[in-house]
Amino acid sequence: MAQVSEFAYRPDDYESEKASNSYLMSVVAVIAGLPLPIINLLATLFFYFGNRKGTFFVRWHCTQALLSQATVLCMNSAGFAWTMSIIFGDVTLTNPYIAYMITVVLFNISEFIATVYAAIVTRKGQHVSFWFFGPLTALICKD
Amino acid sequence: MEKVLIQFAVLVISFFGLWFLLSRIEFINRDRVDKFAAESEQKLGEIILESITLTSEEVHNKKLQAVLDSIKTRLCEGKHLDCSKIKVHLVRNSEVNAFALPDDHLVVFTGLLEYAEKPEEVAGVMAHEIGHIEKNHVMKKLTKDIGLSMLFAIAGGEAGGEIARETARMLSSTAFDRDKEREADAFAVETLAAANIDPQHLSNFFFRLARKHDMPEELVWISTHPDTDERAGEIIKLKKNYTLEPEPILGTDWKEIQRLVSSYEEDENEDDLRGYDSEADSVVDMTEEVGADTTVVQ
Repeated sequence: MAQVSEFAYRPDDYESEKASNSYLMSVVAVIAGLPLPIINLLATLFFYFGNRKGTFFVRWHCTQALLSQATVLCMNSAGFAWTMSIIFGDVTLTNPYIAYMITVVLFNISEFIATVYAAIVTRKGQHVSFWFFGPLTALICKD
Repeated sequence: MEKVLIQFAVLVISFFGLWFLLSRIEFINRDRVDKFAAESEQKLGEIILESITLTSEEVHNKKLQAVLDSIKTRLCEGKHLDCSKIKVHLVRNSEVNAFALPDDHLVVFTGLLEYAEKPEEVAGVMAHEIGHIEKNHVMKKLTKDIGLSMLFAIAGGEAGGEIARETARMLSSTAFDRDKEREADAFAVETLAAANIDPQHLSNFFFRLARKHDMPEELVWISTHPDTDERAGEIIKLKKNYTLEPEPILGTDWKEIQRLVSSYEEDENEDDLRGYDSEADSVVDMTEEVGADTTVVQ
């Protein structure tokens, strides 16, 4: 799910802290933004724009954090809309709804664990690449 | 690039796969929920109806009931609806009103029968209300407006009579939302056309009510059904989709029915029930007429 590897160069302590913060930002936003999934993405997005002119190592990890957040946002938004339509609309509580919410919670937990792990590893100056988001970031983020 | 696509496919498959597998688990026993909901809805319907008939007496005149039943049968059979589940109650009240309650109760006020110029107009209003019943608008509205827990409390007798009366008042005097009213209108036109009743009568009824500038308080049905002009026009548009061969609903003169409504007294009601044998012929006549109408429709 998350693979630690060597980066193109050895980042200094300042870079490691910045890269680590990009993950911490989404972790803090997860806690604050549980009822409103958009907050997570906004927090990460602001951090991304704040650091897009940063060093390669910082940009790379900001991008990976942003992409993983965007995916979780899509899942959470669908769950949020479905829940609202049950509470305020004509939609009834069904087995597929409960199954969806469990699936979303499991994916959120996985993403949360991976994010905390990435925050710790990058703080040590090591490079970590997530499943799918890592290779995708490598395609988007060029030196 | 290929690696990204493969990993993306695995991610998507694992998400939907997990969702699909979890969906197989029966978190909610739908049969039990439906049974519980049906029982609660039945009790809710009885309680709300009771709170209405506490203030406005239910009319048990056999002739009038037969008229309403014949209209109901004509409407239901045209569209192959389960007629037996819809319970029509005629309630003595001067308001021009009809409304649906939980558990397929349909309440018609005597004021509507007195105001309508033709039985086809009453049929139009009833078809509209049957639309609300068939589309389950009543329970959706109640669930949305007062909440499921409160409904269960009323059904369980824990909420008190005042809340039941307030719920009855809400159902009889407030509109459904615009979409649901239009849905019920479309259903009414379809049902009327299937029963060989011209939907134009419902449209006329709407127009006639909307043209009354000095709308008396009794015209409740119109105040609970907004945008009347527009909807009357919509009914005429919808009507064009059907080929109609209109046939009369009743074999009896409508004015005679209205006189019966106006002259109805509680004593007559009692006499009607006690002296059923002496009037049995007329009741049977009416029922036979209903049967005859039904046969024509079929």
